[in-house]
Amino acid sequence: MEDFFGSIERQAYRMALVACANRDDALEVVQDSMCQFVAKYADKPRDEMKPLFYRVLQNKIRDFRRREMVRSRWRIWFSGEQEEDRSDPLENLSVSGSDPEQDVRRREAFERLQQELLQLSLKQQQIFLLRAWEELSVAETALAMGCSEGTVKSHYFRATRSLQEKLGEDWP
Amino acid sequence: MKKTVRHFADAARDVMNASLDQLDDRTRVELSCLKYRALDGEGSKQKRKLLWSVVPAVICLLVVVSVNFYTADRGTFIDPEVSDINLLSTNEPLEFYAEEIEFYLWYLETESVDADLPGSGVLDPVEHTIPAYGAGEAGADRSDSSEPGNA
Repeated sequence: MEDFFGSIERQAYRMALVACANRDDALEVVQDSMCQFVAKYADKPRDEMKPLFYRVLQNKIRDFRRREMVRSRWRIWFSGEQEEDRSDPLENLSVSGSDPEQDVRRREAFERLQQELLQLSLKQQQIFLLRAWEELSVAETALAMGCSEGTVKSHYFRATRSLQEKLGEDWP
Repeated sequence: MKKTVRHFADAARDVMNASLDQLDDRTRVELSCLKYRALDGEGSKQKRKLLWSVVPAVICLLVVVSVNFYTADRGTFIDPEVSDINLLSTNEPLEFYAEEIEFYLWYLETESVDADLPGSGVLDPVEHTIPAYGAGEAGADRSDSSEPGNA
């Protein structure tokens, strides 16, 4: 279990960060997902763990987004000046590579990708991350997202086409 | 188009994997803490499960021990009042006990008196026959000639 978490914790954080757009919220979502996963699926075989964990993560992200919608409505009703200190997720990136130029290029490429991902719907965004990044199969992605395989295919295709159009041919 | 999609997905994966290496140390440490917190939660939950499985067994053991202790205690304790109650609650009529007691009292008295008289070591078999225990007719016959009141 520890190895499994070690292999997916950073990806899970990145996915949560794309969905939540806040570092602390993303960490909270990842923590909740890990706790729930351990409680429910600790005895599952290793090869089934990945899609199940991402299913839990997606549910937590959805819960978080719903809560945020309710909170933002209340905020609009009661006060416009109470702005939360939402740090830029990209500020947490540190230059760790040996080649500063390459690091800067990668950072810029990731920043552009992240910005465009934020423009997609939550479903397209997460399906793209699961399929392209985590390389889950269509069936595994459908299990993780709790939707049909046809939905996964169509959303993945639309997300990829949209990102390609916006990022351009010369990206990354 | 399919090849382009694949190519784009590969490029996106490379960029995102590179972004993982660029995570700051603070976030990495926090992620590790989250991981171990979740795993500790599992450990404590298992301990709690074990505890909850032991508790009923302990309760059952306590109940059995207390019931056995109580029963054993009741068995060794003889209450005279209870024995009297047992006597009174039997199906035998109370007159039976009264007659017998009177008879034995009379018999003892008679025996002691006869023992004082010289040459009276042998009792007359006709008059001093001891009735069989519980023989009602014998007691009735005896009442004619040898009741303490008549004597």
